[in-house]
Amino acid sequence: MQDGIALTTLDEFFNWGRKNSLWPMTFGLACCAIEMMATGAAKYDLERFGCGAFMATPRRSDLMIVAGTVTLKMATRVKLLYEQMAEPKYVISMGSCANKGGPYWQHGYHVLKGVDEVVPVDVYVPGCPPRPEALIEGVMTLQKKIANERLLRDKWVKHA
Amino acid sequence: MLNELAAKINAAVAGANAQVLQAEDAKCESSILVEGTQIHAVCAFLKSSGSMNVLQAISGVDYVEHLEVVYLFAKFDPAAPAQLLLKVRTTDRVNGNFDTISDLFPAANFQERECYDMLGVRFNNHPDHRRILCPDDWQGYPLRKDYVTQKNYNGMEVFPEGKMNMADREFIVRQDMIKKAQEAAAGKVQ
Amino acid sequence: MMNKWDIPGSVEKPTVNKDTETLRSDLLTLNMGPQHPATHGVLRVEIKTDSEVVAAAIPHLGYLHRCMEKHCENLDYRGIIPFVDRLDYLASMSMEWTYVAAVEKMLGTEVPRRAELLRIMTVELQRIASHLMAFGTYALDLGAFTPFLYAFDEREKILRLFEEVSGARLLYNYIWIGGVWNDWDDAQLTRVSEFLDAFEPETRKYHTLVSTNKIFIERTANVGVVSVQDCLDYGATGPVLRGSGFKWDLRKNQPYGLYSEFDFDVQVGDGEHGVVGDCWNRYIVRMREVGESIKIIRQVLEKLEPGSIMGKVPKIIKLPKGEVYMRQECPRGELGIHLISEGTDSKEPYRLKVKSPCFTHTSMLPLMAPGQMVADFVATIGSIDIVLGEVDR
Repeated sequence: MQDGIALTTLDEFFNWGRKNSLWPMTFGLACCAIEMMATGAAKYDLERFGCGAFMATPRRSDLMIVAGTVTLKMATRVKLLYEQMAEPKYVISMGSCANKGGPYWQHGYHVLKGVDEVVPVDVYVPGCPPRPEALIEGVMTLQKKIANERLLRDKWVKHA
Repeated sequence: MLNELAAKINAAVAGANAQVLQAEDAKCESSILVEGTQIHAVCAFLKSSGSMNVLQAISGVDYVEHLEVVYLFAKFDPAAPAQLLLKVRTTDRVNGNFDTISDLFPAANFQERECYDMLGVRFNNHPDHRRILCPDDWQGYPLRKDYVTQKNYNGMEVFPEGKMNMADREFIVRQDMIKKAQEAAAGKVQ
Repeated sequence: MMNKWDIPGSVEKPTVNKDTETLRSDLLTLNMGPQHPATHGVLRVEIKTDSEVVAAAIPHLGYLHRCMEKHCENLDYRGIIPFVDRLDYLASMSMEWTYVAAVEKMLGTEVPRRAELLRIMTVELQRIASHLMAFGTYALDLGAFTPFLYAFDEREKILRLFEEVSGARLLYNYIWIGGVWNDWDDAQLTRVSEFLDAFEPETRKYHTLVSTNKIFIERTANVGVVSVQDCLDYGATGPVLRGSGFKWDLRKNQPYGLYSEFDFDVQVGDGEHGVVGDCWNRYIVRMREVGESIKIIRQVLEKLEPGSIMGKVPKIIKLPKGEVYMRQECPRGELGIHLISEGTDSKEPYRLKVKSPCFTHTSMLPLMAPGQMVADFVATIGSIDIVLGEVDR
């Protein structure tokens, strides 16, 4: 075997590229946004997982971390932003409010009970707010999920 | 102190009928109740006489027999700080309205919009009279005791049955008052 | 307010000669938010611009309206504390103390001295953390990334102290009716004083890095000026009011808790750079208040003595019929809690109204915006330091 040659499968190669450079979109809504910023800051560094470049625009990002309560007024915008993202795209629902409505489930007339009513979610991170380590575990779980994708059965590939 | 202020208001504004609502318990705060139609004149007097120079908030409360709007004033004066709770009432739940005071206290702009949004009380001559917290096409006034949430908004279910513990979702307290208010509202509509 | 057309070297503002000009120009409506990196949350501002200059700014709120006041009508008094936490989630301790003080006033509870001192210490530590956050995100809005990392690093140390004593990093549920929940032991108090000793020289570093930085001064001085009369008319409080030169701090003017025993100054904007009432002065008021909070915490550490941390509170709390309006000085302004109880039969409040300082400050945006450029408008929003959880409740 000569140097400079690596053998792999296309699946592994594509998945390796996708999971190690997930660029999140800054979509902090409420208190969980502060924990997301703390995860991106110096102590719990999210950059070492490749998620360092927080893009403000959905057009350039791969990952939407919905951090905070989604209200009915905001839900249409969440859907619009999700549709503006280019594929392959992933969603992490961070915090109880984004998972199922959170502490406002009981009488929250203006609270959407979970962001999965409007966008498909890949990973749910529980907590109120989740610790930065919990969010990192969520990102790592998403990386494991991406590593198991198959190109031929990929939801991003449009079969003829 | 409140008695003097009520007397001054009565002297300055005709028809104000300012009366002090003394708190039953000494630890709670007393307030002044004035006639709803004279609220603009009363606030103009408060501002011009220097009694109160800051409007902090406008809070609305639904006592089932009447709707009450509470104006929370404060005096930012290092020599003599003070605060005042000024109340007005209306029994008209459909068209209850007061004059806006946003020309005197610009802070009232957003506060009155919130009072309208939450309680359904209208403010005449308000520069921007629309809902502020709920969406513009929201039905109902949430902080009323007879409020029933709408089932759908823009295609989204507000309380989806699969995710909610429906038994726990109802208001646990004051069910008798809420039922009474809803029956009264239904009686008026029909 | 300085007209931003007065830039040296720029051309004269074009005037339209209505007799000869047939070219019509409209204002361009831009939408800032609700998803925007610099609006501190889900704030949507509709800006009407005339080329680069803002002609009008209309804030649209409600994107984080979480129905907190409706929830409070169905929860017992102790159960409301976590909801009050989530109002201004960067200053949870201050929110909790205001609400708990309102309930304690109506209940007539005696709070033990040690609990009062611990409350002051945690609230002042929280004030430092909140102002650090304001400092970091404000610099980030203007394009500087390093102060953000410094601020978050310092904030992590404070959050570590809070986590040891209350179990949570952000939303504590620590200040309870009658006292505080958990006691601080001597090792933790030593760590507080070690943190202060390490932190105080760092504040001088931040001052050199940001406050006296030429670019920062050019971006924030003379921008978004509000007069004292405007502040009082609009109900502004806290650093916004003090940045305009009016010396009003509830901790000194209407002392609550044990604040009357402490020796500290009230910082006001003095126009060292720029003009009094502009963004730079609001910012420097916050930075100087951090120094005052350090003084207060050091005095608390000297005064602390062993004792109980929870007063006598009935198992089921029922308040007498009546209402109370309690105001306290939170990092962003004066928080007011108007609590109405219908009598001793009910375990829940009848109505809880939250007077939020950020809500009143957001209503000042249409006043401050006209005449600024869009980039200055970003600096203005950052200087009033809003947290949308409190604005929308």
